[in-house]
Amino acid sequence: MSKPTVPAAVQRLLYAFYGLAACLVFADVLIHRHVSHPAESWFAFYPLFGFVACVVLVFAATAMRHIVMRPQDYYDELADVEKTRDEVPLDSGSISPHDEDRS
Amino acid sequence: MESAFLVSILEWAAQFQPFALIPPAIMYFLAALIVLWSSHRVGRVVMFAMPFLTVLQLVVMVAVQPNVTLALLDMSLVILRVDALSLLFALLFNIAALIGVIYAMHVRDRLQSVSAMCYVGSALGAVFAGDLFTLFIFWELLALSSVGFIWARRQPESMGAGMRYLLVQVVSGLLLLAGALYLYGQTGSLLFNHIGLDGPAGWLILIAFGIKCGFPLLHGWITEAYPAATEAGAVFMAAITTKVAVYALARGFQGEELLVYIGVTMTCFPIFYAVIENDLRRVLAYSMINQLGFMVCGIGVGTTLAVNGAVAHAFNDVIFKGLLFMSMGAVLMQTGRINGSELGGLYRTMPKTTVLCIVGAMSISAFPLLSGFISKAMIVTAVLEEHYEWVWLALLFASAGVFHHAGIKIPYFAFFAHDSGLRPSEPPTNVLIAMSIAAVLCIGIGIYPTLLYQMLPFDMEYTPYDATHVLAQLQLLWFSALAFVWLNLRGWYPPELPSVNLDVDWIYRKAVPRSTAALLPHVSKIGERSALYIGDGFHRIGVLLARGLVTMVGQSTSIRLMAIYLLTVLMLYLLLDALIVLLH
Repeated sequence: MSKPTVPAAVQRLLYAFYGLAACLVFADVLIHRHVSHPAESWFAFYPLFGFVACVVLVFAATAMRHIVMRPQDYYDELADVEKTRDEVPLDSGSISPHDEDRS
Repeated sequence: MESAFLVSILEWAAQFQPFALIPPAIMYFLAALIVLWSSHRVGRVVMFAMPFLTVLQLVVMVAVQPNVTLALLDMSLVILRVDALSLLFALLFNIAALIGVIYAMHVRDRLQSVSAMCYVGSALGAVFAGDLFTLFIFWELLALSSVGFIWARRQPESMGAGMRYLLVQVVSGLLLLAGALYLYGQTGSLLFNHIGLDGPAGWLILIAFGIKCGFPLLHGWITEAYPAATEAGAVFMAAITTKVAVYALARGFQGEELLVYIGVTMTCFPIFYAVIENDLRRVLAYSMINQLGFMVCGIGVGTTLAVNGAVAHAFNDVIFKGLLFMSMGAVLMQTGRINGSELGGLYRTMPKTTVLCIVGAMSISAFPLLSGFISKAMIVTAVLEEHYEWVWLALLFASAGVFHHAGIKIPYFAFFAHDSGLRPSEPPTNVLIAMSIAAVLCIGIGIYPTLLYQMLPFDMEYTPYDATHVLAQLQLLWFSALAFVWLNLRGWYPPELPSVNLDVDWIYRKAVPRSTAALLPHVSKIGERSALYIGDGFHRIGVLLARGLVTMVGQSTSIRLMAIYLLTVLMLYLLLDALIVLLH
């Protein structure tokens, strides 16, 4: 997977986005959050949790692709019926009491 | 001042008492009949008028609090039980119906129109049902009426998808009926109040509700049916079926601890699928299971704050998930495509749809000042108050995840990302109006939450906008977005690929049909062999049977397999029924 190139306008938006992210972390110093759980009182708990959670989510999901991903037409029902019909020949009609040693 | 105004409205409404005694379900069914037999123009007017008429009726109901009971054999059926919970859901379904009808105004398809009226009617019947038998009837009608939305797509695969959807829903209804009869045998009452998990009846009913609510392993129909429905059909279906189940759970299983764990599982596992799913409406279906998880969790915690949060979240979810389904429906309508791998860059020619979609996406992600923020915070706070610490962490994970897949992925891959070269125009005006109504509601409830929160079933004290909550939520979401940006810039974000991902539906769509197809010829051969020894006449019957079996099951598509499954459940149910009769 190659790194995508970023147009200048988007790059400016991204800088603004990073700036706001920094402000939000800094707000942790200014605003005292009242907490219900000890973990919440750690500095930058929520930013770290959000970032790590999403990275873990994406890596785990990407790994999951190796197990669960199938081609687009995997459930193609019509093809399924056709195939099954081929596997089970219904017109093999010569079953009679006399050909016992068939198969 | 305001309350005096309300009182005078209610006094005025009380004089229309007989109006409140007609079940809204019947009104919608009548509307369906009119739509069936009249011209499209008349049908449209009737469909548009119905939600308004019914909301008026709800106002009268608030004033007179009717309770309509019907005697059937030796049972009394409560057709209309009106309280805060049922009224709120009834209002919700009417709002959803109005938005859906406007969204589908340009569609000239009688099947969908009639389905829509019957479907909304059944939902109203279910939330006003005061006993389990009435609930069962509307539960099944919900299934029957909504399958029209899938068949109306008229694609080769629609028939199968619709049939599987119908079978799952019917099985849910049968389990509900079995549970109800069992309960009737035990207690002699069919009243639908708190049920709990004390006996087999409770379990049967919980599974019935769980199927409709998309509990883990029972969720296959959600991710299959919604992407298979028509553009407008998905909007209706996403609003109603699962929310009726949430209502039923809130009524029958409030405070059952098991639901906390079921709910938290539902919030977490679908987001992994949503990240790698290509069909954007299926991404929304996974995201729906995730949101339902929050509600189920809240119902399981069972405190006032938690249940109010769950109900409020159901309300908000109908609006913002509806908005997201509408925007993806608009994309499908205008481009004929819905796979992320084939879309991108649509913001150039669909700017209005883009903005409306982003409002929905920010709402579902629970940004402050949008509707999802308060209801989700209520549930998460209640979970922590009851000291479910791991559940709380998992819900935080799911909150970050939902922003990732529904909040960013949906708008990003449809409207931005790489340029697909598609230049579709904006959808018809009625579609934009419907989406705008939903967007205004998302913002309105977010900014002025009292609108919704004074209607919640329990009184409570809760301050939604305090610095702690707002800051924490903004930090969580902003850094989830940062993760998305970082992964994308590194080229590590999984690309949208034309593919399907295996989920539970694989079991009945692939594994079992394949293995029966492989096994049955051998089984039938044994049948044939043994037939050889039993004279010529018997032989012919044997061959006939064997071939019949092969024809019926050997080449079974998943539909036939599910028909057999259904028959088995039916037989089990009859057996259970006989047992109950024997016991009493």
